[in-house]
Amino acid sequence: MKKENPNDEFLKDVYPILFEKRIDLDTKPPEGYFQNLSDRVMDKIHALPESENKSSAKIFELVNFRNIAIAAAAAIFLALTPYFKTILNPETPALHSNDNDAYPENDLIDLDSYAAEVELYDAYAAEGLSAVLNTRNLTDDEIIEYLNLEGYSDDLILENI
Amino acid sequence: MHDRESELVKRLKQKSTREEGFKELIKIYQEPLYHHIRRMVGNHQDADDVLQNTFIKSWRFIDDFRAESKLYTWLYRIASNEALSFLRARKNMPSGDNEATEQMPTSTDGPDAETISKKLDAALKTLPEKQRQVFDLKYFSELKYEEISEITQTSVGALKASYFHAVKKIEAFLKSN
Repeated sequence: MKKENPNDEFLKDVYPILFEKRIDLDTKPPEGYFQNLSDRVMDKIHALPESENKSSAKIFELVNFRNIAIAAAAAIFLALTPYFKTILNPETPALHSNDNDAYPENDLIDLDSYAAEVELYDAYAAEGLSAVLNTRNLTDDEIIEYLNLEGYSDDLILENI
Repeated sequence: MHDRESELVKRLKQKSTREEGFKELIKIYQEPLYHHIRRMVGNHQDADDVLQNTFIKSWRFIDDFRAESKLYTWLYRIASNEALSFLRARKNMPSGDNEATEQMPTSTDGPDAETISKKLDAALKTLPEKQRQVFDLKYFSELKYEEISEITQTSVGALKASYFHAVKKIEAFLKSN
């Protein structure tokens, strides 16, 4: 029976039979096995090919070099990832100066059907002006003053009055 | 033991005394390593192959041993890994009688030591390889958790859990047989 192992106290609680009996398995080798084991091992070592019999320093260096190469490749890849992103996703809105081109596939927006900005502005101005004129009897100066306060330019006002 | 080990390591590191030192290493560690491997792989023939491979590998990588751990934990690590590799390779081989199932001895007089020993051997064969390894190193080789941690590169907490589960499985097996 083996001596009590102080580290194995928990075994006493979990499975007392194993703790109390301290069972040994039958692992006895054949008679005389250990007597010439060292000679048999050394014979095998001497029979190894030259490359396997050398010290492992070279292998250790190769492994290190491989690890360094892998780490360097990973670092280069990470550094180039933003560059790859811009190549693979060129159609990002931020890269385009013309905002209209940022939505090329939006079927709801037909840019050609929109009037030019000036035409829109004129239409609104005219509408606003006629609305004012319809509701009140105002002098031209009052109208001009009002429109100026609303932010309309003098050119636009004079064009429509 | 520590002085003897450090002296041995010095001889192993010098090319002029390496072979002589290595023979001494084999003589010191052959028995504990053999029993550990034998309990893992189950029979003498396979244990002999794995043990010799263990020593050959330790010869080839002796320059890598930096004496940060003890020599025997380093050797145990090689031996354990060799045994586990052997078991995995054997699992993938066409099935033969790779691990002969133990006959369950019957006795009406209650379990004697031999009976329990054979039953325990059968129970161990049902454990996953890693659990078997941990149980062997703890129960039979009586190593500390910290030493087993170095050998298996597993945390002490995980080892305790693994050992606990192994013991519970063995208990269940023995009670049902």
